[in-house]
Amino acid sequence: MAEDQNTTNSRRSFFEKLGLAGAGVVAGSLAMYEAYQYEQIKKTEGKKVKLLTADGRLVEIDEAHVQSHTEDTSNLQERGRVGMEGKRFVMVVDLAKCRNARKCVSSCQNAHELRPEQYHMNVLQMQESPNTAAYNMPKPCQHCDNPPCVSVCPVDATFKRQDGIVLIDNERCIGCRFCMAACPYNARIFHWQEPKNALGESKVDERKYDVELNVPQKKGTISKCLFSADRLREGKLPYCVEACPNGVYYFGDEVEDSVTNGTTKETVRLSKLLKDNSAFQLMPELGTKPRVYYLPAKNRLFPFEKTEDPIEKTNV
Amino acid sequence: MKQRLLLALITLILLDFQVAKSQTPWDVPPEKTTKIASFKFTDEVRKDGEVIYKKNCVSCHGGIGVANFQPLVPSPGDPATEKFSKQTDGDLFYKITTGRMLMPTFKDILTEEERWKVIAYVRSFHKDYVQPNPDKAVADTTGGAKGTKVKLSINFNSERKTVEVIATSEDKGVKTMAAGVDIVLFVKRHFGKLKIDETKTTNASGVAVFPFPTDLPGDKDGNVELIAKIDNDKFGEVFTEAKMPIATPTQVTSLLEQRAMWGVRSKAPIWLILSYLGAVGIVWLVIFIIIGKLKKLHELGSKKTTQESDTSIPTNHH
Amino acid sequence: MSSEKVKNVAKPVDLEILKRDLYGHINLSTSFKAWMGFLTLLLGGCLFAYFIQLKNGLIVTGLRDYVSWGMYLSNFVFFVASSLIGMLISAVLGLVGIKWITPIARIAEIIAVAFSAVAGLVIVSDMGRPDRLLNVFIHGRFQSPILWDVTVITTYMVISVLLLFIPLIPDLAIGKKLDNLPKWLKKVYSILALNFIDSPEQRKIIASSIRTLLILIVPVALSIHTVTSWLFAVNSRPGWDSTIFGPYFVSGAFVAGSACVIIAMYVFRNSYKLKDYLTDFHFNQMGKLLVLVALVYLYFNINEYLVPAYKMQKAEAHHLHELFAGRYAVMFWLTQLGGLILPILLLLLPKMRKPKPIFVIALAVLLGAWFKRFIIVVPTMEGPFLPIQHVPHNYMFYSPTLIETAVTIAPIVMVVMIVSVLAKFLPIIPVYETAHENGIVTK
Repeated sequence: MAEDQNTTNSRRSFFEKLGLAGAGVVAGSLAMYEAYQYEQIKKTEGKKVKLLTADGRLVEIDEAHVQSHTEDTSNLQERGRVGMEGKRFVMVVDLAKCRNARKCVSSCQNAHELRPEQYHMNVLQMQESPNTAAYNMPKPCQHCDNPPCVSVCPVDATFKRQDGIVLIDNERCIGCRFCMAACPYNARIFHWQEPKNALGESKVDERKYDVELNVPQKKGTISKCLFSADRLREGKLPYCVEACPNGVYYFGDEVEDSVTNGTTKETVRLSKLLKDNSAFQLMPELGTKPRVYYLPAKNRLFPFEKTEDPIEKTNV
Repeated sequence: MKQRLLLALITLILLDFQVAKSQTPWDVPPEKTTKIASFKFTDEVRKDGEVIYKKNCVSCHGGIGVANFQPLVPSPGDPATEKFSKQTDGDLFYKITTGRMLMPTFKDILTEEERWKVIAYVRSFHKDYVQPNPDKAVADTTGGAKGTKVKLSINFNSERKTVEVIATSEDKGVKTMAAGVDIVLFVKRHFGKLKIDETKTTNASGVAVFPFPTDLPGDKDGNVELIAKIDNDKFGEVFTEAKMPIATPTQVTSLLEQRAMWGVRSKAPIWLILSYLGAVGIVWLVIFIIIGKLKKLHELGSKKTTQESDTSIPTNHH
Repeated sequence: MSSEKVKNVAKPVDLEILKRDLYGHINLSTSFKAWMGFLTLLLGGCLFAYFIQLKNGLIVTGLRDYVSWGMYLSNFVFFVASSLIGMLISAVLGLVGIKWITPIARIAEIIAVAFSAVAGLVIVSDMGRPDRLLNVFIHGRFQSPILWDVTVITTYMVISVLLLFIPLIPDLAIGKKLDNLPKWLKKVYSILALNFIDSPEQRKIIASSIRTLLILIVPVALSIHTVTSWLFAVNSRPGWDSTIFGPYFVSGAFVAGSACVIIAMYVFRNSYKLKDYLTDFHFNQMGKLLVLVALVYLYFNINEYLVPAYKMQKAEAHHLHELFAGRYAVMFWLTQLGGLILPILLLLLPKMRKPKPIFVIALAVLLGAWFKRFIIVVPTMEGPFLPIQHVPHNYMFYSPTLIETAVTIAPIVMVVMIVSVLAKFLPIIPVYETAHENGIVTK
């Protein structure tokens, strides 16, 4: 009998304690959530803003002069994460035209404030086997439809949008670099030190962080090719696509079945371009489902030149 | 000795042949050679031209007078050289407009004015150049005298699945159908204009007929924005636009609807969410139960008075 | 596996002798103070190195855009591996009914607690933005192996703490009454002893709690090292793209952990004069255990290297070449031969399973285990699918820096400190259990 009473008491006290613990957990997590919400709402202070113009200059202008569609940070975050509706962007790279001019590389590094050894877009000299032709291959992020980098991110800092583009939120990235390990194309880079245009400790960069441009870059976070998401909203081609002088890049929307050449500005049917030129993709057997197509290096109008990059002799 | 000389001569001739072959001549149609600009090349014009040159031309032709052009075949050449200065304005305008091989077609990239500005800039490096009098710029009289207004309109023939572009010209208030006018048709895409078929000429009734592709995607209702333009420099920029539901409607389902390993947390595969939460829940429930039992142990010790315990029972903890 | 008679003590004892032997080391001696002082200084220096890393960014390491995971990650794997030994000794061997592990179990749990507690700090030291650690809990994605890893390691640590604490309760109850213990420690003992008065109900709670936890910890512990192996195995990279990474890592963990325990046994046996409790027999048994787990690990190693070597796929061929004959050949063969194969062969001889020789062998095994994890992490990153071009020379090969080494040593020092403190202020050999297994009355 005493036994029963004891068990009832202990059961009751156990449930009391469980309830207390549960309440504690709820209260604790509510508190954490509130704190998080507070952090997210950033008020814009200061009257001047630093902006990056389309041709890569850093200017400081009155905030009032900025067009109203440049939203505050939380709106930029939201539209950056959602992406453009009804579009699925693709890139086509014509390997027959690439002469390793590297204008794509430099215009991208300029727009995203990268150092010379940091690449969102790199141009590699490829040769599959000793008897096959050597060629130059531009390598951006492939914006895969089954992105291994997005799968492994612990904090949803890198994400896929409805328009196919994979972006990185440098306000959230914790710098664990799992995504770098996961990417088989080595498309991602990390800011091992303060980024190129960092202002130093005493100054604050007033520019509103736009996840579609990923500027200002941040130390301790990841960066990569964004398919120039900031330009696409305005119907402008990505930085690399426009900068190429040799007609290597086509960029467009597979829903519209059209891609536009960055050099000639000619628009062609995507399906026809891929079919007529026997397009292929990089390592599709890995199941990544990339969004970049390559046209084989056939009928080249110039000889292939193997080059040595002096940066490979330096240490950084 | 004689044989050696002969051999050398033959080699020289053959080499010449090769060099000549690689510099295939770029012929300009005679009616284009005489074209000239309709405005004066001032310093401001040349300055504008310099900006355009640096953006569009310097990557292959290099700086003018610097001879740092790209080693392509055929060679772009330095625009300051005689190869360029001996050509007419019309030659240069034609070549920039049409392009050839690696040189792009600038017809849709630069307006006519912009092309003339580049030529103005290039000409500033040709010492003996004198600009032909701009007033003498002749408008082509075929298709109507100078001052004629030409208007375009677009129609869709649903039986034949063709787009019809109708050109009418108005001269002193009298409207007539304009025949023999070259029309080019585009569909607006997000980044540029997609050309439909080839340039078509209007027939005697002023109609140019374009077969329209049956598999071109439009918006969700099948709408596309059409642009019809006159494809020559006689009438300047004459074009018209129309939005018509003549293409294939597209329905795009969001890539983010599906559950996937790469999705956001709420779009994780169901089995994964259940396994994770289930495992964590069960294990931590057990942990909390045991912590609860320890509390009870603590209570038992404080409640009970010292009791004899049966120490002969060997406790087997493992 | 054990003989009929429990040989937990070398000669028959009574409770008083037990108390003297097993609590005798608990005091704040000068040698202990000197030891902790030394460790604190060392830790201070290492933490200063971490401060430099925080200030300047991870550029102070040898990591760059191609080898983006290096010594910090291999150290982390080593930590998770070593913490698994608690499960092996207490749970696997314990549940099976092995008796000779009684004096060793607490040492194993102390090691498990220390390593699993500090493992998280190793990962934090590798993060680019440690200030955003909370994001993992607020925004954590169920699909990320990192979230799984954080979850299981935390869970394992909590269970290990409980498995250290609960069997300790009776010993604390005995100890709180002893005269030779410092007063403050007796107070701590009293609180933590949770009013244990050796009543049947209390004994039942302790027995059932331990049993439940031992069963619970097996899947949890298997998970921690399997999930940690998945940090690598979920990536399409040569050397990591393996289906057997889970059992490969788990079996390797037992090797590293066994070596750790042997080393700890030897150190405490000598400094705390526990020759009668950690006897030659125990070392002999641990030696046999080490041979067994090492053989299993060797089996997995053969699978991991022989099978890709047979096929010689392009990227794998490059990777294997670097290990067998290239940049990492010396490290690879030293760890495999000196850290695995030679110890197996030596430990087959009974003479080698005596305390001193086995201690030296265990040191070699542990050192080999640390470098083996380096071999697993780094060479793969130096051989990606696409060529490495247009980057500085030091991007192509990895060399850890001095600061990186200091930040790597810091958590090792922390583990040593935790083990030292716990071993110093607690009876390392379970008193209550030893007493009861030898038929000694404890009340």
